[in-house]
Amino acid sequence: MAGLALQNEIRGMEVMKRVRLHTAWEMWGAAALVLLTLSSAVAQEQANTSQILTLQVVETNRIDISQKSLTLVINQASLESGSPVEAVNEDGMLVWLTNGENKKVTVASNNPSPRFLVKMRALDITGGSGSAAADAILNDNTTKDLITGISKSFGRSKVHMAASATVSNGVGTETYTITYTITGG
Amino acid sequence: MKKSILILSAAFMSLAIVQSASAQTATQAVSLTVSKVYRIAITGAATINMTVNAGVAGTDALTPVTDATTTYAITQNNSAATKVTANLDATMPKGHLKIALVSGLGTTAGTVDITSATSGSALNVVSGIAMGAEAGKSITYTFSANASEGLFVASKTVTLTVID
Amino acid sequence: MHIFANLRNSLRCQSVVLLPISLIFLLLMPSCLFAQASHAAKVTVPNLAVVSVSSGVVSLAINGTGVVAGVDPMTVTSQATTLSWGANTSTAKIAVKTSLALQKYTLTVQAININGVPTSTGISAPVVTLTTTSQDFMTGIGLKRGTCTLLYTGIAPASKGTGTDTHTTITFTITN
Repeated sequence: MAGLALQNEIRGMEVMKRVRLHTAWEMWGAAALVLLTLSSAVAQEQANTSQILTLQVVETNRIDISQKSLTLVINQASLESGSPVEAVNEDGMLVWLTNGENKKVTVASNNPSPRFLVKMRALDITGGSGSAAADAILNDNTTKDLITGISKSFGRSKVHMAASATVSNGVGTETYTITYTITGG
Repeated sequence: MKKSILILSAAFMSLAIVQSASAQTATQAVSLTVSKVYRIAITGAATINMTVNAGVAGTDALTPVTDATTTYAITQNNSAATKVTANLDATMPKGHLKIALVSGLGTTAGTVDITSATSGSALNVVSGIAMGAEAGKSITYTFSANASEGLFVASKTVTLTVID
Repeated sequence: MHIFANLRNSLRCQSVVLLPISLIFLLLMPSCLFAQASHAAKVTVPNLAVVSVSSGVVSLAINGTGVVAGVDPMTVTSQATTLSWGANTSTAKIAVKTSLALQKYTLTVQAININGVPTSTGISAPVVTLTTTSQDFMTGIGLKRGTCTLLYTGIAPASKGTGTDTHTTITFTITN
């Protein structure tokens, strides 16, 4: 009986030993799986690629005039001086856009030696920047300032246009192409 | 249709504007008023010297002297009742002075003794002068004295006046 | 020599690269450095002619002042008013007339002290004896403006006596 009990005790001890061994193998497997997972993750980050983007906004200027054609008629003369009274038109609306700094709007006529005299200036400037220059007298075809000091804004203004004549200019009609340019100040 | 009426109206309106601009007028009222005007002037020497230096024996009256070197001019636009009078600045105590004016526009009074005529008692020398003007009409002075008045020297101012 | 040859080759290579870039730059830059818009403006000047006087009333009086004994015509003058005009045609002229048909005395008018702009040259201003018929007062005023003094002369012969002529309306008309 005593030998049978001893045999059973020894058999039990062997079973326990096998269980412990199996458990140990399982733990080592799990640890290896974790290590494999971690090493896989590390290997994936290193495979990513990088890119540098250069973003640029170039200078953009836009300008437009609302009234594509207008007529000024000088049909009165002063009783005191006898001089023809100038004709005025303020219907034209100038709009512009710029993302640059220190810009200006210039104006130029295509007529190098006009018979009648046209003067212009900007009125009621809105948009946050820009101020009206002195009267632009279109007595030749050179470029004259209309609005100066425009920076990073969009705005609008009325265009005051006055045409005058002297009696010695006589009777007649003249048409001018007037070009507005927004450009560097 | 409406559009053409509008266009036609605009055309007529512009025509009217052009016409008014090409023929302008300015007006003024001018009045010309003519009031009574009398003007008389003597031409010739400013001073006339008349000297009595002859006579007839046995006669008190010395030989008179005359002077017709001056003329007068007259302008008047009043009625035909206008006349010319003559007077001295003061009466002459000695001697006599007469005057005679020739007139084309009026009637001469002939030779008028103005010895005692002063401003308050001027005598008519021409009367009934018609409106208008004439010049170069002669004035004749006659100076006379008596021997009994002795020697004297007098300076007299003769004034001719044109008056209603 | 080698140095210069190398430099020349280098510049040649650079220009091959830079030239197209420069062209692209030149083509692109104007569109971003400025922008333009334009419109047509027509100025029309029709026939213009204006005339005006500085005052609407002129009075002349002959009361003996300045009258010369022995001279029948008595005269008086006025330079109290001015006339302004402007005309932008070459044939412009000013005419004058009076509304008074039956006149006892004579009234003349003439433009004096003429100040024409740009010039007074070519302006003719005769003495006009006023009648109800329009007569040339100033000619040669085309393409000019200016001012002048109105010289009115009243002439009253003493033989016509006293009285008043009232010219209710003396009209100056400028025509092109």
